[in-house]
Amino acid sequence: MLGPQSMGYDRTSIMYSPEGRIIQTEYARESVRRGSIAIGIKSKKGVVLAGLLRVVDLNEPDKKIHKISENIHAIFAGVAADGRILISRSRLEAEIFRLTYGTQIDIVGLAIKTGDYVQLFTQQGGLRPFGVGILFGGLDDTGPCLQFVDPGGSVASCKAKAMGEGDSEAIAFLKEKYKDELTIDELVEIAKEAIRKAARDAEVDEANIAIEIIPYKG
Amino acid sequence: MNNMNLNNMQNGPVIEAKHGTTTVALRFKDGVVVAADKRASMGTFIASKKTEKIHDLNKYTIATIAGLVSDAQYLVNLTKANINLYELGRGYPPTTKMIGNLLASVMYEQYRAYFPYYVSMLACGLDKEGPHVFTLDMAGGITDEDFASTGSGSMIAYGVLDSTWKEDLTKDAALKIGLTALKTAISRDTATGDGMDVAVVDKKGIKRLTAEQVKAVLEE
Repeated sequence: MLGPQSMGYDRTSIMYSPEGRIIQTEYARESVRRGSIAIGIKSKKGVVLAGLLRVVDLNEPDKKIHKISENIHAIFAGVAADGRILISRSRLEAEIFRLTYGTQIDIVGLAIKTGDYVQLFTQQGGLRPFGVGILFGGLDDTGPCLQFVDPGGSVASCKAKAMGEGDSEAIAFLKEKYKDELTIDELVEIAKEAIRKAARDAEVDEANIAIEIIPYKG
Repeated sequence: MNNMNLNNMQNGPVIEAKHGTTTVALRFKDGVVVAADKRASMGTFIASKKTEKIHDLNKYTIATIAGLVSDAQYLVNLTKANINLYELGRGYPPTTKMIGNLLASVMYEQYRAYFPYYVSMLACGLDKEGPHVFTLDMAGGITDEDFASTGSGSMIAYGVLDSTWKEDLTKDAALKIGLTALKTAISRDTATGDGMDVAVVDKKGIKRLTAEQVKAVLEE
């Protein structure tokens, strides 16, 4: 009996395998796992995004955290080129919302818009799903908010999230440390420590951790 | 903003529109009072005596309409649909400010396409920032006011509102001012009349006043 791979079900995202899986999307999730680690964590006191900067040769490290609008930042892990497109797309969606409704976009709304776009690439022929997981963090009328969009286009509301190389170690650490009442300083410490856990035994230089701290007063 | 002369329209049809109306809205300390008459006129003819000019958009936002009835009803329905889609996707509703700006965006787009909606609306309600009275004109302009009036009798209503409105009114005082303004418009404008619809928006949501309650306020 031939497996689903050898039957060619993994060659396109627009075809299910007989078990009902979309194998291309699963491969896309693997490419997120190859990216450098990205962490998001929130409590009632705010949101913290943090990521490990990967230095290639003599390049300046890539920017890991991107500002989307006045109230929202994003961090992604995975294929940098794909992430760049999603960042500009979400900036565009934020501006469209601001022009239409006269206020800054809410984070759930932004994640849904971005998720809608990402999902298109799993159902249309000739397209490759995005090889990135993206986290949107910031403040809106609902308070601190952290939203995750995966390569399949699904949107999840998170208390804490880790994606990229070493994510299982980081998630295990976050699960152990997470409480609803964490202060901003504790969030920062936990995020940095989660990155070190993800790096396993490798030395992590403080200068190679990108961090965005978004405190909530209210 | 309130004088819509459809006969000046260069390329479109000349419509005898139902557009005699007076609607008023004013802020008070913790909410908004909104009142409108019930008459729809076509020139000197009274086309309807029971027109609904105050529409609930969601739990904390209402709109009043003046101008071409079909355009106004369509805009109200479209906005309600957009509000529902917004809330269903997120689990929380848009604010009054967002609803006002959404209406303005839709009206501006249509104005720029040379076929504006012939309406003048008020979007009123209560959100995190406090009470709002937004005026919306057919070109897509939007302003946040303390009080506002639209329709053929608005000049008359503004006379009362301008001379009596002040900051931090109680609900009862605001009701008295709003209803007096509308009553004055009804008594001097031929295109305004046939009773009043009155609604109050506060923390508890939207509450409509019965005819008896309206009468009681005016007789106080």
